[in-house]
Amino acid sequence: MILTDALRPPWPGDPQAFAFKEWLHLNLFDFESGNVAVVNVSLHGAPLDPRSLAVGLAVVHVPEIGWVGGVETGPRAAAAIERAGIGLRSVALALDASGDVLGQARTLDGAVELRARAQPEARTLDVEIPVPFGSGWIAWRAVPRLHPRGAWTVLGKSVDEERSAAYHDHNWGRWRWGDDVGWEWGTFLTLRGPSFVFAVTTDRAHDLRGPTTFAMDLDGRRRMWSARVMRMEYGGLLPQVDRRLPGALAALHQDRAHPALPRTVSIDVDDGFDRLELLFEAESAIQLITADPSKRGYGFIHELAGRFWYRGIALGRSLEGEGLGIFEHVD
Amino acid sequence: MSTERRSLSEFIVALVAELDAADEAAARRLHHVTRGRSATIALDREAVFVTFIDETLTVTPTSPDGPPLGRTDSETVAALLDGTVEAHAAIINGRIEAQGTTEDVARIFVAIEIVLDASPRAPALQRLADEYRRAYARPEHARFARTAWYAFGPSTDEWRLLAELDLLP
Repeated sequence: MILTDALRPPWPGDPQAFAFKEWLHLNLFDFESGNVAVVNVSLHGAPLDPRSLAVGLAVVHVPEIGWVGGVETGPRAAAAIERAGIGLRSVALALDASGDVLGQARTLDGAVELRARAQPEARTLDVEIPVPFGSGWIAWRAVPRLHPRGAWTVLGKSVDEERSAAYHDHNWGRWRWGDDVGWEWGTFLTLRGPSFVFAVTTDRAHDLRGPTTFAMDLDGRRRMWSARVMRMEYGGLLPQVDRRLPGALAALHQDRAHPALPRTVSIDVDDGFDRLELLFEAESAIQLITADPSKRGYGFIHELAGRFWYRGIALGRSLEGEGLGIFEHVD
Repeated sequence: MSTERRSLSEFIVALVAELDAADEAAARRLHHVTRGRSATIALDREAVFVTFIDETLTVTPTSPDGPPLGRTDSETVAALLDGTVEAHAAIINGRIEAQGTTEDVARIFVAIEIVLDASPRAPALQRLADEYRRAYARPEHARFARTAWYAFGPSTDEWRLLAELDLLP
C-alpha cells in the first residue's frame, strides 16, 4: 500500500505497455438539486506510442433535463501528465500530497464549470491486488467519501458545497477495450450518513463474475461484505440511453444505441451480524464509448444516475435513509 | 479557433485532410473507393460537387436545386452523430436520400463508413464531429419513426418483376 497515490505508468520494457490503461475519477453529488457529476481523465495505450490517447470527461445528470457537458479526446502527447494528475484542455484531475483530489473543468457546451478541491472524509478503499481482466488485469483504489470545496456550476447555477459530497477512484491495468470484459460498479452517498461502494468485474455478458466488493463507510468506520452474504438483483429496464458520447463513436456503433440496462439495482446483505437492504433506482443513463488506440476494439460504459434508499442494521446501529447514486454497467 | 461556422465544403475538405493526416491506411482506402468519381451532395440548402481526381479532392459549391447523389439535413446528421438514430431508420424515414447507380450509392456509404471507422483512433476527426454538432445544434432532435421496412410502397416495375419471378403470393 502507498500512502500518497500517484499515476502508475508502465515501467520501461513492460511487454504489456501497449495495453496500458489508467484513469482518475471523481463523482460529485449535489443533494439540493439532485445533480450527479461524472468527471474522469484517462490514458489509453503505451506512453511512447504516438497513437495513444488521453480522454477527459465532464458530464452532469440534471434531473428533468438530462445530461449536460461533454467529452474531449486527444493524443496522449498533447495532454499534461504529471506525477499524480492528468490535464486536457477542458478537464483535469490531480491528487495532491495530502490526499485531496483537485478537479477543474469547463466544458465546450458551457454547461459545466468546476474548480474544486475534495478532501477525503473516509479511509481509502484499497483493492490494489491486480484482478484478472480480459487479456490482462485491473487494479484500483477508492475514497468512498470526500467533501468538495470550491466552485461547481451547472447550467449557470452554483452548487452549495455544504449540500454536496464526492467520491473518487483511481484505476489502472493492462487490457484492451473489446476484450471479453465488463464490470458493475456503484457508489451511493448520503449527505451526512453512510456511503456505499459496490464493484465486481465480469465478462462481457455479465455471467462470469470476479471478486465482489461491497463496503459501507459511516463516521470513520467501515464494514465490508463478501459475495457469499449478499444478493444483488436487477429490476426492470431503462427505456433508453439519453445521451451517447463521443458522437463519432456513437455513429459508428448504431447497433449499441438501445442497450438493456436495469432500472433498479437491489443489494441485500445478511451475514448474521448485519442486515441491510439497498435499492437504487436509475433515472437516466449515458453511454460512453471507449476505443483501443492501436487496434479496433470498443468498450461501452453506461453511467446510470438516480436515487437510492437503504435500511437495516449495521455497525451495531439501526440505519434508514436515502441519497444519490450512480451505477456503472460496462461491457 | 475560428468562431465562424464552416461551410459544408469546408467540413468535407477538413474531414479528408484530417483522415489523410491521422490514418494513412484508411485514407488510402477512401481514395481507392472514390478515385475518379464525382458526386453532388446536399445538406439543407447547401450543395457541393465533390470530385476525386488523381488523389486530389476538389469540392465546389453548386446549386442545391439539381439532382444530388446524396441529400440530408443537419438535424439528421446531428441525430446520427449523437447516435440516437440508426442510418437505416434515417433512410427509411426519407431523411437521407441517395440516388444513382447501385455502385455509386454503395461507394458513398463505404466512404462514410471508412471515415467513421477511423474516428475512434483519430481525435481530430472526433473534434470535427463535435464542432459540427455544436455548430448545427438544435434544441430538439429530428424525430424518426422506428420502421421495420420501407415506409413507401413498391413501384409498378417492382410488382412486374416480382410477378415475372413468380414471387407474388
